[in-house]
Amino acid sequence: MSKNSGLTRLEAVLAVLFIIALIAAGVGWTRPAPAAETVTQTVKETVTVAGETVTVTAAEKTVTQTVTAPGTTVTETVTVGAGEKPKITILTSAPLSRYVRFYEKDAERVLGIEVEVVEVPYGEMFEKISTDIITGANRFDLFLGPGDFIGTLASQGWIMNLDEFMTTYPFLEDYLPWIREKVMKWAGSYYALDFDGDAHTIFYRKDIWTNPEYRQKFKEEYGYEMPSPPKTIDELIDVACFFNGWDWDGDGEINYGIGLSAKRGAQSAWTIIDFAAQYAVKPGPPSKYTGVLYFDPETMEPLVNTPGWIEGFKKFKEILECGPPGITDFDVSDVRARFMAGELAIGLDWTDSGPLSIAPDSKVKGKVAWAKIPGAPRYWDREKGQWVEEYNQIGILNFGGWVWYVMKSVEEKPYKDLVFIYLIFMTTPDKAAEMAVAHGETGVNIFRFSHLYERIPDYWIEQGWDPESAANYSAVINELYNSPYVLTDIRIPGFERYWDALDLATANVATGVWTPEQAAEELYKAWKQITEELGVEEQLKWYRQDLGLPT
Amino acid sequence: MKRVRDWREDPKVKFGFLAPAIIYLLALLIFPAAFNIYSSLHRWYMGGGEPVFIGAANYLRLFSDSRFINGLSFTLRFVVTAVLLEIVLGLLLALSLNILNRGKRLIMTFLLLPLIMAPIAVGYMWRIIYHADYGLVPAVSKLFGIPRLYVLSDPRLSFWGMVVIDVWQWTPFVLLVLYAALVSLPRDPLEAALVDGASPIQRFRYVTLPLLTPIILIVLFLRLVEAFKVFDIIYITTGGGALTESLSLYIYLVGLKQFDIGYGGAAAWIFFLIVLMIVTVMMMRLRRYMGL
Repeated sequence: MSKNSGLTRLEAVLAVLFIIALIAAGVGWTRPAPAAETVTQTVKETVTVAGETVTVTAAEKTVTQTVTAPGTTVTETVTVGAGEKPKITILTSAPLSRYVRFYEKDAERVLGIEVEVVEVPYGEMFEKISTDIITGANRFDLFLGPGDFIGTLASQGWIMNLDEFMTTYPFLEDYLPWIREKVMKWAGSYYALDFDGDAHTIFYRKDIWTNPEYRQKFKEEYGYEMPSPPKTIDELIDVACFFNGWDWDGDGEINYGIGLSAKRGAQSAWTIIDFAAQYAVKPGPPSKYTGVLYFDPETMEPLVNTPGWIEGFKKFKEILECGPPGITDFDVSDVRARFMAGELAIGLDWTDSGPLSIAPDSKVKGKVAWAKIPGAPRYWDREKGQWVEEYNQIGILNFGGWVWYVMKSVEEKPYKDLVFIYLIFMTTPDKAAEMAVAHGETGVNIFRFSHLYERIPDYWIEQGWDPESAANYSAVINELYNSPYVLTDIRIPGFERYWDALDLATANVATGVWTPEQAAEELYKAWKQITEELGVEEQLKWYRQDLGLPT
Repeated sequence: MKRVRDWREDPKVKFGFLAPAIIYLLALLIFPAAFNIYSSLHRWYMGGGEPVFIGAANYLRLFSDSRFINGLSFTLRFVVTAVLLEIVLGLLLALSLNILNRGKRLIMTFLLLPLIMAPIAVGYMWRIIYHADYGLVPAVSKLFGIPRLYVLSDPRLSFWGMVVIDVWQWTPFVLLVLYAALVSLPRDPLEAALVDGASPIQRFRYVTLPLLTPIILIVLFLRLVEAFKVFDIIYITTGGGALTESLSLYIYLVGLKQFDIGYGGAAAWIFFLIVLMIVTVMMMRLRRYMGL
């Protein structure tokens, strides 16, 4: 370019590149699609984990998968058209996307398919999947997402009923009971294939718990033996307050009592149900007066303004006084980081705490004990309208877990059977074991019998666990999933709205904007309004279906 | 003799040239606006079946929605406080820079840094600064022997915490524009005032400020429009907790997190009308002032 043109040579080059980029973007210039590829070699792969054998064979135009699980042998054969290489498109989010990508090449190689993983931020998953369905694009075959979505997805007919698939699915009996019966089912039918077990526990520093000096000091201060583990919310508050604000590990730094999620827009809604359920739920199977936390299953009246819920809010507020400064701004990452750094005596969080405690940078390896969320010394009986002075401990599957959904549109796709073969391939017990036992950062927690320490003790030890911690952690999870009754999140249409209102009320109690009574009343009004807008009859029908009650 | 028609007068050609603008307006303005009006008149929950016409019910619901009212209240207080502070600070900084003889470039470079940062990055940076345990603010407050300040979780402080972030990021914009205006002001009136023996304050009050007023009004207009949309910094720092839920954040949560498309649309329209009203009043004053 000459000087007269007003552009230097560099500017001219940049301008040309910019124009080319614009044109490329405008016309959707992408890498040309590869020519259809035919699988010409036979690939055989055998994986053995905990006594279960998976044999997968892929040959030209025919994909055969033979799976042998204890007592079960299944052979699936799918013939793919000549030259075709079906593409399975998956929608998911971090951290589970890592797992899908990790096995992406294996799946492509073994099954002769192409796997496309579409990863979106966690908060955009529902928007993405619903837009895909409502607009009729039907791009996604599989959705690896939160178990909470099951009610909305199933009630709208967006996902496939998996009852038939489950009759041949080889690892069904290997799922821990409540994973199989609650997380994977909705209205009595299977709609999801689980790949993660999610529930809250408490975890605490057993090394300081056993310190005789501290135990004596606790007894003098509170008048009873330091509970190991805390059996009630009140005991939990006592020990959290006892260990709050002093250097109990002798490293010269102040330590604190408890860490839990209380921040707005994070996970506080899952925290508050741990507290409220113990006081508000009368144990028993779901019915008008037992086994329900959120709504009256006969009228759809919100239960959040009952004395049990108010007590839960009060205890939640009380325990925040026994945590580090700024605990009201904590989310899960703060809880995990602080506990693993040795700053906290107790954590209340998902079971990711297990594998995180043995991570290389953990300062608490071998020093942690786990226990179920403590119960309450009394609960509110709505039928009698009074407190019942009885110990009550309610198990909750907070969040439920990450699950595979098969989109309804797959029914019409020519490679439908391959999608199911892919699902079997991706959910073999070995694929989860390593993540659940040793890699907390993956977000996968144990959900199968075959993951339990008692089944594969050597594997746990190899991953860095000590026998005592492993046995304790594994047993607590096993016990929770074998409890007589458990609660789930709200799993009906409008889940996001109900949950956001709960999150707001919890955060407002935490920061002192609302008193527990105000929060209960505001939450009641918000939930009532949401239900009325979505239709009381309709919502009641879905709620009863979710609880397994006749409609 | 046959008259050769000028191709420029051909209506088809005229329409052809107008078409891109019309398509642009239809696709990116008219259609989304019309669609939003349509959705706001329906009960439409994504994942909750077909839209159901409910007339103005969504709009009426807004008046009894405490979160909408709180969000509006927060946004109005935020806009007034933050923009006012930005204008005052920006003007003071511009005047100070104007009388400086050396180091202007260096100071200007540092002052403009916040302006070029992405709001998300600003949010994360301030989240760390305010962090309850290892943040700068609690540490400094402890250093001075005052109780630790938990800006992100204390409802008494959180509003001011958000204002400080906005002022920090946007004051440089005001400074930049006003400084440019200051250096290009005509010298004659100022020199005349100097000859007449006007004090510095008088020169500012009676000469500089009147000359700067049109620019200040434009900056005020731009900042008002932008401040009403406050979202990023709140989303990142408090997530709307501790009484900091702005109207933009609330509309986002309703429409795109809870998928209440109809109600979110109604809230967005009311918000738009409020901003439009304020901006129109501002524009009218601006035009009157500038004699347009």
